[in-house]
Amino acid sequence: MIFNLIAPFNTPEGLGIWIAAFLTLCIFSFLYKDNPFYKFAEHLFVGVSTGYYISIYYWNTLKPNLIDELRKGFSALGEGNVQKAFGLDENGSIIAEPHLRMVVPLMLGIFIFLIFISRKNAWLSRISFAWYIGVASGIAIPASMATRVLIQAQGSVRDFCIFNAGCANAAGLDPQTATTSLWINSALLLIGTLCAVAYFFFSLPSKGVLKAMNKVGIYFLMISFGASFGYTVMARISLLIGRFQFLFYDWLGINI
Amino acid sequence: MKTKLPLTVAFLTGIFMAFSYFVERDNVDWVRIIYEELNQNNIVIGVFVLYLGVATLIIKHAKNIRDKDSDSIYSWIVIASTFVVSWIGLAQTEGDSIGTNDNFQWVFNNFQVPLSATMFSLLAFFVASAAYRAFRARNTEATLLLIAAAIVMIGRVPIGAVISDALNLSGSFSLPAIAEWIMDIPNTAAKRAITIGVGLGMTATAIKIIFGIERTYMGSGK
Amino acid sequence: MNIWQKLSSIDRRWVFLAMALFVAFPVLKPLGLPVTTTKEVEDIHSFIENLDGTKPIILGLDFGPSTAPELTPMAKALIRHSLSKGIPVLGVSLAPDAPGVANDIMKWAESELNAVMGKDIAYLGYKVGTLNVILQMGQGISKPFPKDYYGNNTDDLPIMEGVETLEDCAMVVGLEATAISDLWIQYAGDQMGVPIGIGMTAVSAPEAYVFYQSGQIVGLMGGMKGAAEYELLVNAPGAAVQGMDAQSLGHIVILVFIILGNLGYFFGTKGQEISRLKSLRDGEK
Repeated sequence: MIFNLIAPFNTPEGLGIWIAAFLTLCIFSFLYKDNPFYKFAEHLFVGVSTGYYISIYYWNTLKPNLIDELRKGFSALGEGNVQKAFGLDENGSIIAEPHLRMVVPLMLGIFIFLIFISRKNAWLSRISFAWYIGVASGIAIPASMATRVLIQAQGSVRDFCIFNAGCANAAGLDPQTATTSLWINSALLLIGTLCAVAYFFFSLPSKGVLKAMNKVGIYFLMISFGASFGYTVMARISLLIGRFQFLFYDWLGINI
Repeated sequence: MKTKLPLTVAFLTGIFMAFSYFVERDNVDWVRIIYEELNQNNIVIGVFVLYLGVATLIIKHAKNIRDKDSDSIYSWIVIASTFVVSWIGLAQTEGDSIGTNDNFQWVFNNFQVPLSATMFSLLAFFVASAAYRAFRARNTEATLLLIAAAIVMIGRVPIGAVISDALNLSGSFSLPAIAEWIMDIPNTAAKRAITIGVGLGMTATAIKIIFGIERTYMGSGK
Repeated sequence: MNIWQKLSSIDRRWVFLAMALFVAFPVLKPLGLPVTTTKEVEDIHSFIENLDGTKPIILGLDFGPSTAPELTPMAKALIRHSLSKGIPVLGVSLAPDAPGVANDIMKWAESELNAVMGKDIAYLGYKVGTLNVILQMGQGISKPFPKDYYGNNTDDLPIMEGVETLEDCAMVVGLEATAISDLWIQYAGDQMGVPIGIGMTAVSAPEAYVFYQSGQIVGLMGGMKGAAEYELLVNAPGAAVQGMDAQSLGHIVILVFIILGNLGYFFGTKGQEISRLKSLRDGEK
């Protein structure tokens, strides 16, 4: 067992590691029972995160995409160039830099904060939310139908292509690689998908063929949930491993 | 007006964005211009929405302090740390970007990282405890779930190959191969069904929002 | 309470202690268990291997400290691989807690791989809006990102030479802790036709297999295992490979407790209940 130098206390980097280790142990103390150290760390987490987000949103989005654009626009207005101030070129065409056209989202943003400022005018915030959600909803309709429904349905039968020479050649697949196990797996994939979709179909009573499909579907779903549980366990343990790597390697300098 | 105007805005923006998907935007100038303006505006509106969340949090903790709640000391910690980190990030940044603010990065690496990472790593312990207490093979479905979970948990890590060698399981019958098959076939089939369902649900919800049937985003009140 | 019932009602703090010991031990003393690669990770590797280096890769660094142990090793292995092939890497973030982590990764690339910022690698920072940002990047990468994370004009960066929109990039590899992967696939992949590779936390990875099977993504890396596989493929074992031993023992511990709990259930509570009902029925006869 080799101990490298434990993190020093008297350098900014070393001090930071000691602070990080202390906070890590504060959070881990919750495993024994709830205590003031854990509560302190938990609330510190909320505060530090909030301060972090305030700064990140400002420097990464608010300043470059709004404040700087408005400043350039007012500067152009001050020079008497009204077209440039509104992000138009000499011919009146819209250019990439919006400048004063950003007054529109600024106004919509201020409407959101009317919830705190004026109860009488707070309804104006609905316009901002409607705008934001309308844009997202509109683009989601064709995109989610294409990606999640149509291409997925196509994917269910995609593997069968290799068994038809014409389809295989068109898709750039080698028909020689078609095997019995590939056929069985492709059939299982298709049957499993259809049965699992049937399980979520509640408009018809579950009897006869639909009942049998539901039964098969639930088995596929249960296997899938088991796989998801296995992966979830992997994810959680990975995070714990990361913390132990920090405590042993970076803080205590243990390196065997 | 207080309801009709927002609904009209949602309808117009939604219909336009759906329509723009099917248009060759590069060849139709007015579609391209409005499309870019809407995207650009949404980025900035999004910042204000996020700041709304920040403001709500600060107001909540300020009220705890004002009302002298039993745990108001913790609200002091939240408010104080928020202001200190904001000051470091906003006031101490020179020039045009936060990427050059080493103090801010130091606070991130030594406060945000350990707090966030450790908070989530607690879940490893809780998932073990929850699995121990609640994971019971009560019926066929639960047994299937357990067996699949066990195979994937062992097959996906290096010890799966070691156990397979010890049990003389090789090729398609080794634990890693069975785990791979579970992910490729039954898992994909079931998740595909869920994905299709989610896609249809998202489409239906989006249509309801655009046509004003779904109005929860407007909040309560007249 | 008989032995079986005791087995299924161990105080949870003993469970926590067992987890801590069995995960910590391999971190201190690695066992050297072999890591094997899977097809979905090899597919991303071979896709990048076959790129000619004339166009950059967009690396979506969309994760924060809570998922960094799984995704940071992926990012480092990908950057190492890309730079070894002469392929520039352009980092962007669509998650708010990502910039701090991404900045550290960029600094690592500069110091460990001698990457030149602005030419071999660049980081454009974070932008609010996810979906709207991706759509705008389809019109022009510098439209949502007029400046990079360090204050330089995006269009003036050497890496942006000949690159205007997402479609001018070789591929997008999104390293995701949330559902942002769906947005890259829906908009950058299916709508704009840009090849997509995805690296995800293990929690979300099972759901991404549908996109891999349908060909919507070229490959998939799931969790720390996926990161370890990629590290091996680029011959640079790092934190992820180191963590796989602890991963193995952690899984074994959880399985042992699940088995104990079920033994306690079948031979303890449920077994006693079945015996009680049997004796009642025999008594009635």
